[in-house]
Amino acid sequence: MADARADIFARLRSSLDAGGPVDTRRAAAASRIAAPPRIGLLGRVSNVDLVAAFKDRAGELGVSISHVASPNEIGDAVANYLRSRNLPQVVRTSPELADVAWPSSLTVSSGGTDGDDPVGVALARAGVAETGTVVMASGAASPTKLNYLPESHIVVLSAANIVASYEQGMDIVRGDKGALLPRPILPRSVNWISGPSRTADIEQTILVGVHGPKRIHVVIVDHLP
Amino acid sequence: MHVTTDFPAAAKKALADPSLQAALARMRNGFVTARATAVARLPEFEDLRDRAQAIRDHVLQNLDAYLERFEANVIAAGGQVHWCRDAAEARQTVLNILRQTGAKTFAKGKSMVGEEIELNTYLEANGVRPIETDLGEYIIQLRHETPSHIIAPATHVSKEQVAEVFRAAHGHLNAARPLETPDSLLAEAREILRKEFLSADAGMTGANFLIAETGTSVIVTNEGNGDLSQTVPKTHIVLAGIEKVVPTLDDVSVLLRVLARSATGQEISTYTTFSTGPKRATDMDGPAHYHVVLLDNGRSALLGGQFHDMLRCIRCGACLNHCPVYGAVGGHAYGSVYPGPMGSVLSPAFAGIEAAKHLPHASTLCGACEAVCPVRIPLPKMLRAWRDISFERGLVTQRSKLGLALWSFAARNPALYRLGASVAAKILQKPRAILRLVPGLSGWLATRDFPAAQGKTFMAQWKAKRG
Repeated sequence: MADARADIFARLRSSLDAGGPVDTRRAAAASRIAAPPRIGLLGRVSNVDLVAAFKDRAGELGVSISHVASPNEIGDAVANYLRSRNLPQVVRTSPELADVAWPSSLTVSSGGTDGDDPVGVALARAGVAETGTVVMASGAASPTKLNYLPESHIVVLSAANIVASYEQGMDIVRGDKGALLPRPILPRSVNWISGPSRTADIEQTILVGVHGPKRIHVVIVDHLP
Repeated sequence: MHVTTDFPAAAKKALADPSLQAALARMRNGFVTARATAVARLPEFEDLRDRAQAIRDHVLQNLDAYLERFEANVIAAGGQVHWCRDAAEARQTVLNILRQTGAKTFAKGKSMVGEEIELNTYLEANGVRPIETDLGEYIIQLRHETPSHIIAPATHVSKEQVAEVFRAAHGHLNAARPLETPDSLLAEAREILRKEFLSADAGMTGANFLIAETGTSVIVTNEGNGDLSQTVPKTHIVLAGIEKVVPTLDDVSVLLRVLARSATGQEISTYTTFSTGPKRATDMDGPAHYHVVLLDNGRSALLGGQFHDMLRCIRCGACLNHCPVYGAVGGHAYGSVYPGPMGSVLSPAFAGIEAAKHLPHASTLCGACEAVCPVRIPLPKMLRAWRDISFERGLVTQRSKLGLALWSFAARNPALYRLGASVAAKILQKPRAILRLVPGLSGWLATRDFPAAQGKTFMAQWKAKRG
């Protein structure tokens, strides 16, 4: 409906042109996009231990956490978590985590999911200390459905990627630290996840585990290559 | 968009409904306390509100330029953009996309624009089965209702009523199953809707924001239903108003910091999802097709006029949560899918002041809405502006016209005015007893009190004091 588009822009311009020509507005938009104004960090994440702050905030959201020094310990951390919650020792992992040394007690498969996997294990791009949020992104070895369909979601997060703010988290996703133009197209899906799936739609009672995972566990790894 | 109600009659009915009143009491306590707590925890909150307002103002001043950018970037990412002047075009556009892909079932994330254009009724009449996947929207879809709140659509429904409608709709399940607790209701909804997600031919979401810089649509949800609706089926349709665009990812971060805190009092919603185009050739999952349907439907007409600031709205619902009128009567009394203060400004703009003439008056103008609005929309000022317009168009009742005519006659005759005021000051020492005798006022007094007068007018007291 090309005429609908033309009509809508004509309507907008009948009002906006009173403030000046469209080229001025295009220039204003271009300059803001070329150099987006960025606000300062919130006080709660300025000059603090970001890993500790992330743990505090994520804890408030109902996320459990284990913290290990090296990638060799990821497998045990996952197995221990599942055992402690009496959950099945059967995990579906993102192909990005193919190199992890899984303990023999775990039944491990790798790939996407169609909903039959009780536990999904995925790699976060970033963790945001401001609210204890993990940032996931879709990709060739990173299926989005793994973050939503399993009842239990385990997220592996490099301590080096724990940042203060959402803006810094998105810089990591874009891989450009906000400096280069033109910036790459974002991944199809970037998912900020802040705690387990929840609702208050029945009588304002907060219930956990509506459509997405009922529980989230984050494994922070100090030295992830 | 239809506005269907006689607000005074609907409000009276709502006040007499004990189940609704219990629901409203829960909502008032929940949202207001949670917001206050979240705001108290963030010293930067007021500064962020100023920034949020400035971002929205900047977008509106350059709206055409940002929409061009957004469109170009959606196309660059492999998506398609569809422009719709009104509700009918938007409904037709969605149906055309579904027909092109042969879709028969349609998993929907929550969308107020979907409610605005009455999409479900249209799709059903044209052979597509829409499935609302937000738990609240699912409940009201089964009850054949409209939402009563823009972020908590089923806030008026009790858990017993949810159980009742689940038993009626899920007839294939064991009739003797227990459904007394919210947990049991949730488990049943999860199981039923999970099957729908996995089999739906197409999915839809609304958009909390559209990002010009990247051609991205953003949704925030707590349930994860919007994510499943847009990730599992092979087509993702985004339905959004043209005013939803914002310049950059950085700007969205600012707006997100005020959105959830204002809405539910959460620091951030559970899921904030950024969707850019269809799945890439090498991606492991995601939709093969990505369409953005952009709707005008009266928005462009607000630009630059006296309701311009309303276009800043980010649909958080804080004005509903803090409104004493909404809190007393709930959303359905307004007869519009946009209830409360924001709705009483938007509904006359979208449906016409003739159809929505009661709504600007469904407010005490107490100012609570403006005080909590994250983008500082002057809602009371705009409600007054609609009152002026409805008066100019002769849309007020005969009784109000008569009262105003009498008052203006007296006001032009000072001696008469003073006489009237001194009589009133005497008899209104017992206001309820006296006013009940005045024809037509008993109804007014049924829900309102009136302060007792002191016996003498201000003018008389002033004269006595000065000696």
